[in-house]
Amino acid sequence: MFRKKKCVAMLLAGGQGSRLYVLTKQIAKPAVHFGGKYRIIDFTLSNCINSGIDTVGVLTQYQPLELNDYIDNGEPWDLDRTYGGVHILPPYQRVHGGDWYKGTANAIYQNMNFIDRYTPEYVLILSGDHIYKMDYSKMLDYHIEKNADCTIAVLSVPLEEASRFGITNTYDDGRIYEFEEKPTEPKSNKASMGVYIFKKEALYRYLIEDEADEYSSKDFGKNVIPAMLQSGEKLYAYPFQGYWKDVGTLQSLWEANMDLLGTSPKLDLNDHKWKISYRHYPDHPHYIGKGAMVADSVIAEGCEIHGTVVNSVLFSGVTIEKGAVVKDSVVMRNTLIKEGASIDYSIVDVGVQVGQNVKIGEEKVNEGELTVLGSGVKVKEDTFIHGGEIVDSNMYIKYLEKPMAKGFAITRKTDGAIHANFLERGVVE
Amino acid sequence: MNAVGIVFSNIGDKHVPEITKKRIMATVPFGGRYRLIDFVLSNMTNSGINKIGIIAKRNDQNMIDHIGTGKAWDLARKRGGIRVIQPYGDDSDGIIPIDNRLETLKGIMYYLDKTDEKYVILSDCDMVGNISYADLLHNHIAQNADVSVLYKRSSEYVSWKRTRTLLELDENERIVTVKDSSKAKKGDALFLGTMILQKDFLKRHILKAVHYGYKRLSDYCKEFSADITMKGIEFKEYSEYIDSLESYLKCNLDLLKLAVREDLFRKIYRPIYTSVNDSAPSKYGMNAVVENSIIADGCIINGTVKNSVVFRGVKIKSGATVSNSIVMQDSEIGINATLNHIVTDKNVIIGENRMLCGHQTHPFYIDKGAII
Repeated sequence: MFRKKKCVAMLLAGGQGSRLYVLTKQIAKPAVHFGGKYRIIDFTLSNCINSGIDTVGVLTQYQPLELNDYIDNGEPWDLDRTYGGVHILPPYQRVHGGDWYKGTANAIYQNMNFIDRYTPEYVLILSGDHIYKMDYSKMLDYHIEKNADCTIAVLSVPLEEASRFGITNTYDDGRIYEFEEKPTEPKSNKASMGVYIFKKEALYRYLIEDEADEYSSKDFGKNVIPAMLQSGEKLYAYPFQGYWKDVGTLQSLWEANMDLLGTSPKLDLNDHKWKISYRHYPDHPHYIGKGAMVADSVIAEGCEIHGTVVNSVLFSGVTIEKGAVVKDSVVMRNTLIKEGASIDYSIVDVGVQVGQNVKIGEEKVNEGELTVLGSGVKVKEDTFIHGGEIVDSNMYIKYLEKPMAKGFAITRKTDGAIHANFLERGVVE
Repeated sequence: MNAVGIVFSNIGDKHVPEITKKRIMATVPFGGRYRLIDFVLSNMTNSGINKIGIIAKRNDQNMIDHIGTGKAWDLARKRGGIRVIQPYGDDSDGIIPIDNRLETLKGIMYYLDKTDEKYVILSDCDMVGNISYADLLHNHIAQNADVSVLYKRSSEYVSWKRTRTLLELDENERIVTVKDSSKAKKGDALFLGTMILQKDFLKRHILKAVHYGYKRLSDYCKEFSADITMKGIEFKEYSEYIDSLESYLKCNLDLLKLAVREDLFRKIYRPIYTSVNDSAPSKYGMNAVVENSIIADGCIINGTVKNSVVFRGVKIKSGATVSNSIVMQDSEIGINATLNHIVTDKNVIIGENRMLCGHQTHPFYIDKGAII
């Protein structure tokens, strides 16, 4: 049992995910709910255990309470180990003071003592905010075969979208000669997925070097990788094929949820060979009532459906009363949607109460924009919430977010007409 | 809570012979994702009992798999927790008749001897209900009884295929007579398979009862009713016995009533836990029609489901119609197949265009793994 680990995974889960606005107000981005029963971090943790990596350090910083609670001892992912397993690694105080994690590289730098406990040969760096199913053991084999100092997992993206990613330019054998962070004129379409495997020695060398550089922003993509390339280290790109989605924006989170739908969904969670594990709540199987209509949707346990649900993802414990219509939407845990309400093209966070005959959002087909209700919002009856609005539990803000393809033009408007009198602060579960 | 729980996992095995052919009563699947033992285990853990002995005598591999470490009920403990216990018999072959409850209790005396708890709660696995044993113990102490048994009042005239135990109580809730009957009038008190008593009392009287050759604790208590105060505690929420395929179907279909779901599953602080298997949420296709049904996780529904209970991982293909039926885990209903009043066991495959039909009082049962 007490043997050294070949590979230790370090999972960066400290990001705020500010582009998810209200969804990450109380929780870190990796703890955001996804796909009816999951949280975003379930994918990375399940990938680790399915790939045979049983030692994972989770680096937390922003709003860690719910994330820590969720991961707990790692039992849902079989990561409750006597030696190894999952460990939460927050920033901490030292003799000479302490500091927050200043960047991705600095976060790993501050936890080198954790890695040292397992004396691994390789370190896998992951990020907790992507939805994908990937066998890291194959990538590790590739890394070993190429005798690389660092291997970066890359995904072929449409060339016109390539400027949103970190792009690797490689020779035919996969060796990287250039890494460009968000290039305006991308030379290739191989986008970095934020998954790196390092030889431990190489990683340590460059982390220490990077830490000494006070002008560095202590980031893997911006500093560490370019520095390694400059010194002529062997960096390889590992081509990944399959579903991968960065759910950093409301639009992409919504899209990723919708990718579960359809007869042959882009993201198949019913795959018995690559199960995504999650922490369970004791809910009974869901009930679909008389006169209910459910089409092309995903519905989790504990729901009571008496209305109409079309092309939507419903999390556990959602109640939809008679005559209510939910269309093209994502509705999270323990939300109550009362009689006659209609929800179109929206993300509704946990514990929301929507009153009778409320109308939320605009139809997607009419070029409506994504509407978001934050956790614990209570919407009083007969209210109308326009498309593209983001509603928080104790204040009312209006943001407009353009779809990602057109860039991140975000304009902020405040609407004086609708105010807090329509919204009471609810108790968040 | 100062009580240890003893669960009889085998009692009633013969009652639903179809479903218990390859499993014991404790692991009979129920309500889309549960097994019958989940109710008693959840009730106990929700009531603060953290030492539970499950008596298993045969065919218990299913149950041992289901319980695992007891983690799902928060009963994976160093101190207490769930233990599967085997009763020792006095005979040379050591076999204890399955339905002989007193002999069984004598056989697990070694387990009771090791516990420090003052009270013992005895429960069977053939009953569905969300019961607070904490309230039960409180009542037991308040009534100053030697033995307290849980009962419910029948709300209407009912008759059963098998006999159930009826109690007659006086105005002080003291039990006067115990009898078996296959029918009950409105207001009759029906025994619910749960008893509470002091451990020392149990130990003292078990030995005596076995010595006299009694087979049922209630018979013994009746005989010695002058010395033993046996009182009833009424349970007013939903509860149902499962003692035939018909009652199994009925009890499952009772879940389609909101009041029953509220009573069983939606109690604050008293959820029913079960072992989990990371199935994805259920998916509905474009042409799915679902009405008045319970659907568990991991299903893919493309056909029609009406008034039914569908377990985890079931696939209902397009054009298929399932009504008034129970479809157990990982079964597959083929294109344009029709099922009415059917109970399919696990892993059943129903081919295309098959048409199967039972009746409310005589549901048609399809064996585990059958291919039709």
